[in-house]
Amino acid sequence: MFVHRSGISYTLYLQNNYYAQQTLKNREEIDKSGGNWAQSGDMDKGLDDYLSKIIDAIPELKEAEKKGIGIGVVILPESSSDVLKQSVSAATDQMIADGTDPDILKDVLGIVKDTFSCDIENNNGYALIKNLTSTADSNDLNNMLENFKNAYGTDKTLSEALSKFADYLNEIWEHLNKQAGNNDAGSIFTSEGKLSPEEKKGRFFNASV
Amino acid sequence: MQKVFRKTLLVSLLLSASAFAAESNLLSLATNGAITAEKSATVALNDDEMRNVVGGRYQYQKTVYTSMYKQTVGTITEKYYGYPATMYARRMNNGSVSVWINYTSGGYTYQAYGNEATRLINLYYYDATKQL
Repeated sequence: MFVHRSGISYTLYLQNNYYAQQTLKNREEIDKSGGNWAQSGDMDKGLDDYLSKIIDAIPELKEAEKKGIGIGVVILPESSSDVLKQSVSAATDQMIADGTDPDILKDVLGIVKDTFSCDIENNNGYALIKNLTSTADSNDLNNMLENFKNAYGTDKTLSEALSKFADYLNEIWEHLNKQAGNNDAGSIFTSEGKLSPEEKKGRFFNASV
Repeated sequence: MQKVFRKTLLVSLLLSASAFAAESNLLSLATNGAITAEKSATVALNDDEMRNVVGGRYQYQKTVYTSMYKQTVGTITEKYYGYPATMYARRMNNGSVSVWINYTSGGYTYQAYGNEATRLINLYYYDATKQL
């Protein structure tokens, strides 16, 4: 029997090279398995503790977890972009003023809060979902898109270390744009890690959400 | 007359069996055979279990595309009874969406069942489906 559910959700976007590398390995394994990959062994060792430190430092997320809200996490590679640093700094100044440890916040690229509604039928080990609708907080989403562009789109070519993340970054870019109602975002990078031809024309950087 | 009745009964039974098989096949198809209608049963958490629900984290890994569906794969960082756990959300081309969890133990992968699986699904189904 389907029951109606609605609620709030948070997605936390982080920059951490160690866990981003693990994610990259996982993604390769997922490709090899045709999508049937399952986490095994110690690849995620320490991840939950790392996330706890960050989430405990952000009062809204800490409160959400206490209420039984699951937090979505996306871990991206670190960027040395100065533009990004300035942007993140502005976004987190208030949090630091509220007493949050700046060393913890340096990994936070953005947080997107959204509200959702759906009908769900819980069965023994699987759920069916229909009529899913959601609305992301437009300020959160704009900030996140801006930070993403500042982090990965300010160089014409991703550094060698980052270029292997091109597909992953494209995927997250597409998700963020889809949330913003732009279903035609295309790719931000080529598979070699260069800005895509559309991007060079400023098609996306000039687009407003 | 009795012969006609028997024939009608036989046809009805065959139709019912094929309808059940079709439903079972669809579910099996939607989950790569991980779930079949025979295994399924609707469950709900009781009040005590609901009070024990405390939020955790779902880490997004990848979106997979095939000709039949789009699927997201993510990790449940708190694990399933201590075992590494992976959550899948799949949208079939016909629009139907399903969510389930696999865990690994002793080098083998199993599907998670029971109240703990339901608790984890309730916590993370939206995080998993939002990328579809």
